[in-house]
Amino acid sequence: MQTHIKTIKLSATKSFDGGVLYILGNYFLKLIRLIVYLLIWQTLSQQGVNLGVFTMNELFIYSIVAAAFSEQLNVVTPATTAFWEGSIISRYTRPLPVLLQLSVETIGTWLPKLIAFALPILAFASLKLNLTNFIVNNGAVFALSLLLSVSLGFAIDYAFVSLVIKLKTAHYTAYSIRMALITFMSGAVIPFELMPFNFGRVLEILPFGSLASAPLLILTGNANMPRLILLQLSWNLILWPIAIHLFKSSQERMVSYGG
Amino acid sequence: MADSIKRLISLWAIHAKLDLLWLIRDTKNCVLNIIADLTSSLSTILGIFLLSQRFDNIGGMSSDHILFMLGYACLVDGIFLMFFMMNNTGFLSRIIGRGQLDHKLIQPNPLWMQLITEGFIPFSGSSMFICGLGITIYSSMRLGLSFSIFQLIILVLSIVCSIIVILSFSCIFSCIAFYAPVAGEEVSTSAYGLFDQLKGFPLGGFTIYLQALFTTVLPIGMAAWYPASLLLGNELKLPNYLMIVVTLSLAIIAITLFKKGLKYYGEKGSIRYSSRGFRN
Repeated sequence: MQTHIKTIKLSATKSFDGGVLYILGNYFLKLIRLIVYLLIWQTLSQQGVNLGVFTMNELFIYSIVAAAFSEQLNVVTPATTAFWEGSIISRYTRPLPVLLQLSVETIGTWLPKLIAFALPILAFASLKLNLTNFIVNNGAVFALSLLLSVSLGFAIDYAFVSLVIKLKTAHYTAYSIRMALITFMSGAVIPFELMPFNFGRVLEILPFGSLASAPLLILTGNANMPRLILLQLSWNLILWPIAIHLFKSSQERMVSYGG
Repeated sequence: MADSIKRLISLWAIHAKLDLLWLIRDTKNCVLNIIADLTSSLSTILGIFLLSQRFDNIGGMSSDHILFMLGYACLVDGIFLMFFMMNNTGFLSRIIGRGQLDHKLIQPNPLWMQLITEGFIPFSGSSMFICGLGITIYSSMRLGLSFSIFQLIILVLSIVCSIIVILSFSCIFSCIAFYAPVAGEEVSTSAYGLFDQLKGFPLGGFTIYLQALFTTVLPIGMAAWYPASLLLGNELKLPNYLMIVVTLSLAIIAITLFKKGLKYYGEKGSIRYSSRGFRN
């Protein structure tokens, strides 16, 4: 356990290697994007449109919590970057399983954002939008759903990493496509309920829907909780064995060089 | 002047040839890259497109108006991608922060000429431009718009202004890298990200103060919403001349700060590379 805590600490401080400005620049960007989305929800609400199951307050909570936990709702381990940089080799020289190292490193990279970005905006939501009421009512199931979402996120990432190994040098290309698709297909930006043409109904049952939409709907109290938890559990049980098998079979084909 | 234009065209031709060679010699990776660029760029406007389809009207813009605005946003994005994405020419803080400005200063072409030409990728980088053209034409047909030559010139000038706003905004922040090369290396990515992710938002429903904020200090509205609204003849709370004022102001500030930073760079140089060639 001590080893993992040390890795988490190292990984958390490594986030500042690029300088404080880079980190702050990203937080600023996320904050502005969040504010603009909140203003869009407010505009729609003032127009008197039908927001489906949501009230404006619930939509605000949905977007704020999605922004606060964006890294947990779409897990990206350092694996793709490690192939890109050629640093994956160093993970094979350490006396720990590679996937475990990558997972622990990922948890470390979450800490700075959780402290410097997530906490302040969640505090704001508690003060202004009664987030505490939502936590009191649905917090326990939300925590369970978030845990299942994080676990599923790791499984999807490792399955994706196996695909990246097969693509050889097109790591960054594959990463860009993945990030673009998952952000929308997970319901982290636009809740499925607000999507046209019944897209949401289809996306909800895909594994990506279990990443962000499920925990956020549970927190806002707009979900069939047992159904969503069961769906998340099922995707975990299906995708983890596939991800491990794919990663193990892909390792022999790994090609990497410094970038 | 004539020599400069001739030189510009010949440099664009060289970079176009290099881009074509990549497409021919490494077709698989080049096509994958085109798909990745297209997917990433379209994903940034997908959210608003879906919302406009669901609600038909956001902030006074109908779904067809929003489609036109998103087409405009794609055109701006496409031209930026085609001219300024390669070799980090649109991300000056990377060039400055990595100490790579030296590479440019020893070349026999003026710096501005290199920055305008080195990012040109008309083959691998044209996907978004073509996509934007298609969306703009389709939405114009749906809206029954018929552009006269004069209106087309206004459209082209508006796109040029939008790109100057994005480049100037990115350049202003990039100047931090002259003074803090490590910390500031990626600052232009965040500055550009602001436009990349938020350019397609209709700001019509916001208060005039927020509209003013998002068209001047954080000018994301200048990348699509404001010019598209003007072209569509929508009534705006903001003055019609604002785009020219913001474009000129940002360009002047960017050039002034860049020159100041370059002077500092000339005195202090860059400390990013060790004697063994590694970047610190």
